[in-house]
Amino acid sequence: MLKQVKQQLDENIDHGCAPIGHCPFKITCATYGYTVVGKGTTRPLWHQVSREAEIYRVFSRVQGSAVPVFLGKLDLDKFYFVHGAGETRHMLLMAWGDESYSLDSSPLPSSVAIIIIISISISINYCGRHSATKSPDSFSSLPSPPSNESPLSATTGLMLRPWLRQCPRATRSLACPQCRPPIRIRALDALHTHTALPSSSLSRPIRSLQTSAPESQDRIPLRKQLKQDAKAVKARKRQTRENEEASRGKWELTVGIEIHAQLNTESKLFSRAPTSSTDLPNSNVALFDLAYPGAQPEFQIATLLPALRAAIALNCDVQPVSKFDRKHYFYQDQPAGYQITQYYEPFARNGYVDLFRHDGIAPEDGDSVRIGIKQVQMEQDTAKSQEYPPSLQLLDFNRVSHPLVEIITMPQIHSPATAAACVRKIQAILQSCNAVTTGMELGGLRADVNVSIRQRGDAAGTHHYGGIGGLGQRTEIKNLSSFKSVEDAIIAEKNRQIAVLESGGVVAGETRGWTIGSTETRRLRGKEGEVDYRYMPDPDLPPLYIGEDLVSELRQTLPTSSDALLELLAGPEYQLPIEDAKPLIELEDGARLEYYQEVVDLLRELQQDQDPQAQKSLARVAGNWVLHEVGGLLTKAELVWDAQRVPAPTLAALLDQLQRKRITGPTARRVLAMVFEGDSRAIPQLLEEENLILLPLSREEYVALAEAAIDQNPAMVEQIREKKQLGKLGWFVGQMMRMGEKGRVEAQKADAILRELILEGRR
Amino acid sequence: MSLLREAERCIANQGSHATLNALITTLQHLGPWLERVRDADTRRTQGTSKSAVDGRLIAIKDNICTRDLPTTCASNALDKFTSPFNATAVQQLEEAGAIVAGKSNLDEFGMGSHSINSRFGPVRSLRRNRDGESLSAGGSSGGSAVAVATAQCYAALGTDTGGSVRLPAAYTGTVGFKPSYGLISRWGVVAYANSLDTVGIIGKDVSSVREVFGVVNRPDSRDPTSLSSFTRSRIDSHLRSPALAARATSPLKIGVPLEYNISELSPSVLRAWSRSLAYMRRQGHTIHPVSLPTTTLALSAYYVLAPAEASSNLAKYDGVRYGTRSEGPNSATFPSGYLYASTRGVGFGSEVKRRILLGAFSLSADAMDNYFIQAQRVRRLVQHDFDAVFRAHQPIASGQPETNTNPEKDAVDVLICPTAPSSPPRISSLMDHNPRASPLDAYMNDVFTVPASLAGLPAISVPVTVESTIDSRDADLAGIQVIGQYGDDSLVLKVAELLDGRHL
Repeated sequence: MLKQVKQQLDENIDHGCAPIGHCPFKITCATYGYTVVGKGTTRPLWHQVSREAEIYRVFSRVQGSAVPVFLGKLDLDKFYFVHGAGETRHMLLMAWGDESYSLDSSPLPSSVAIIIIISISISINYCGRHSATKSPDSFSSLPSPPSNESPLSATTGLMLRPWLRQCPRATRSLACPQCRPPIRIRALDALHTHTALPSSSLSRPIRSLQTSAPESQDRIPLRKQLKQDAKAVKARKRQTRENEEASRGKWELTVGIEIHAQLNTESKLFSRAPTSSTDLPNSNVALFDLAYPGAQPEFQIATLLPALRAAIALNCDVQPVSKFDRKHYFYQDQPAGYQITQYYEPFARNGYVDLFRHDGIAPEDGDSVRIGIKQVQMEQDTAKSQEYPPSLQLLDFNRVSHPLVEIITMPQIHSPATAAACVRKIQAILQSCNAVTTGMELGGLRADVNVSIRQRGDAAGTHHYGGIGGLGQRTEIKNLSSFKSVEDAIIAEKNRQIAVLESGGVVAGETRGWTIGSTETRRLRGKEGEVDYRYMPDPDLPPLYIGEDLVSELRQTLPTSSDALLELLAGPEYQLPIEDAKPLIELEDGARLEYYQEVVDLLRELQQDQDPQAQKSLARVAGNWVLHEVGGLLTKAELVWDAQRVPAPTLAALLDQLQRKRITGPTARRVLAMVFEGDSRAIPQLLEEENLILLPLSREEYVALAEAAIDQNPAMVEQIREKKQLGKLGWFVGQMMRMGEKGRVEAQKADAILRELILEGRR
Repeated sequence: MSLLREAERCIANQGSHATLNALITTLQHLGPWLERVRDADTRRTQGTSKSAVDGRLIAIKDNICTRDLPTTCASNALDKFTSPFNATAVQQLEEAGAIVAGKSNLDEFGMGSHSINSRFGPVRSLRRNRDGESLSAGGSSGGSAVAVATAQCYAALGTDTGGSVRLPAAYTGTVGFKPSYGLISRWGVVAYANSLDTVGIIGKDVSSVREVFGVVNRPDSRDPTSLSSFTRSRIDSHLRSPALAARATSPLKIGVPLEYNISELSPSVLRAWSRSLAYMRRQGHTIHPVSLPTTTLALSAYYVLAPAEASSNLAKYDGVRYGTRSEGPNSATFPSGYLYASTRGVGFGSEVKRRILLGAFSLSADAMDNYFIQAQRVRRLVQHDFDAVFRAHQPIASGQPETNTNPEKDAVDVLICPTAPSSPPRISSLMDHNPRASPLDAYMNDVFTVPASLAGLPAISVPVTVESTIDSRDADLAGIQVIGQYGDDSLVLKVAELLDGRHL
């Protein structure tokens, strides 16, 4: 499962992964539906945190009772940026506590996950660093657990009780319910008494722990328990899926999305102040940004360029004339009392975005679906406000008037997955044309969704939005900040609306909110509390005239769209699988693709003399090596991409040797690693000097190796012969490779000899 | 008289007329200004004056930002506010050698017609009626007008949104000029209704107004509505076309808008108007009746548009970043949604609140179409009315015709009409405690000034004195307004000069 989670997150860090607070993440393994807690950490801290993994191993017996079940370590290819915590690249995976226990429903200020982690760090203090017991006072900042629990020893009780009490499911699933309490208490006592010894070495508490925690006789084996649990989860999933399908048959969901994205500009929208968000708070502000009396807007023409690139990439009609309007509402992050936006006459209209199966749309949407874009408008961002209840608010006006584009889709989305795919795709498009600063994970993109449902085949609804009529009453869910939350919020809201309608109620037009990790949207304000924005044309700002020459110039200089690239790479010329083509395009803003292109070109040149059939597969081979082999080395070494690490001509030369079968695959991998580590010899020289060129084994040598392997494992030979378990041939191939001289045994030949000897009974 | 002598007299007058409440902030007797005036005197004797206003004291309406003196807008909300920057117009005047003579009193944020809605108390005019009662100074630039009328400064800057420079000029016997919209920079002018706000100039005569105008009539890139040099030269070449250039030497065609002859017009004003027209005819110009049919709607349109923009512009006064923040429970209870209620409740006076509410209403989703949109249409019609009667075309209108002039043979060069329908009312009749005083009465005073504001046209009010028919020892003072086509500011000033101060 660890592998699957890694693969899933490497593919898309947002897939089933959302932060809860700063470092804990809620991760759902897409394949099995397990939910686990990931304790994320940054590279500099990983050394320290990975020690925890060792501690968990020590605690293997009490996992699931005294400490959470530890599942393993995870090194990610991509990082997850969490504001205030940094780039999360590593994770410890642990069992998830309880779904219903989320940030906002809790009386405590932090979540269960946070409590777990605190308890773990304490255990490090105890055993890992041989330190003396910390005084109970040092934990007084921890949230205190509910008080109706039987008293435990002060320190540890405070430490672990919240976890134990609040998360019955974690313990239930992993330990027998009957024996839980005694184990818990004893384990805690043990932990307390033994780890408190100031002079204890690392090994002593381990031994003590192991002996002092009595093994329960009627405990179900962990593996079995896991299997049962997985079955239950699967059944539950199936049930939900069936319910979903039933309700989909009856109700049609309609979603429209509004995406706000920070434009990649040097200056603010209406002042010359720079847009940096990292500088000292309130250092990048002009008089107009603070709405000083007498200050006037000065439209920065340069901010129009990324906005236009975005509009063109989204296939919009750029309007020759557009205008700015004021949208009024009072809030402390809005200095002027209004936001300047383009309400009546936006600068771009009538675009669309195409979503394909590989973009992650819902199965019922088929191979592709086109979502219309009603309009794209420019507007100002607000200030950043930080709340310190009860009465302190800090405001940073650096962000105020940062140029944004708001992209409004048509209400043409009918499934939550497609909605998330749409946001993901629009973000990718905006990034590929360099229109935006950052994506959702860094807060550079936010989405609001409008959700309505109507009964299929029923009389059409009475509402119409974006020119589409016959829809049900919609609600708006504001400020969604991850793809996952877009999907989850829509699912939750759809289910809520269905429940309301099926119980004979009426959906009210209102604004709702969503908290990551929750299962329900919550009402923010109803129609009666709806703000009348009193839109008014801004009397200071003249209309914006955009010339067709500028638009066509930008259109020509726009990079090829990723859809077109994907089509090319997956097409007959490159034959890459979609799942390889996608990361190639997306990685390092196209740098990886550029490198790949160079390797393919060079390799094709080198292989000109080869037969055309072999030449066809070159692009695919190169793709595999660029993406997986070089990529794997990078991940292992925790390095960022650098095209000079393994120069493209070197990789091409290496692959040329491999294609000509002058070296084996494992040798090629070994050489790649050497080059990666800094060996700068030319490939032929390196192979020569390291004596790596394949000296093909003679048939006799193969037979000798095969016979040796067969003799050692007669039973398996029987299984292959009797039961036709041909898969086991591969195991013998492995044996032969291990026994033979390194790099000389070719798998194909070994396999052929084995078949000959075992199946055809030559022996 | 030396500039220093003149400046010292102004300062002395500021002291002796302190009770008129014309200035919110005055110049100190001793200050760096002394040195600057002496330097200007030296330059004048050497013939190297920086400009016509070098060494002159110019009062600045207190809704125009000055770095060295507070800018209060006569509002509680900006009670102790000092702007971190100078308005462009102030900057231009200082660079031309002029000295800021003080900050003049006004109706809060420029909202009012009598300069009585001020946090610092009403402005009082020197003029009294036959019973000795104080008369209104007009508004909202009443402080600027009274300061000029009582020689507390050489000239003054005001702002004119719907007549706020012309009306006080008419009531105090001074000259008040509102140039074409976009000629004087509004950077640093606290917005009331941006699409109408115009910096105006008040002086004792047309020539002093022209001097100040020469300094501040410049493009400014910081004001997005300021005309660029390119547009200005386009207007210039338009005015230099033979048909229009000929107006400098040949007799002018003067239009009399029939719709301005309303029943509310007081006899003395009517007399001043007709004698002014008679005087112009004697000078060889011709008089032509013209029709401006939407005039009657203009005032209503103005009182929809100006409050709408005001409600938006004044949303920024929340006490968070600057200005006065009210203490009290409301400031601390964010979640309740009343963050600013207390601050804004205390910060604004009743007239400002009235207009914010009016504006918020007319912009609200349900009322927008019936009020704001309709008013914008009326505004367009008012502009069409003017374009139909002026000989010169609007030089920067879109879809400009080939010719520079109106083919209509009765088209006129300027319009002459009264500035206000009556002579200034008694202050006592305007104050809140008068049960018959309605804000609508005050709005009525703007009926002749608002159309030019809606169309962005240059307009000036000059004082003329008319012998009373009843008692020849008594003379009536009235403001006569000259309105010209957009960009025709020089012609307007020229015609105004013919009438300025005439005893008719």
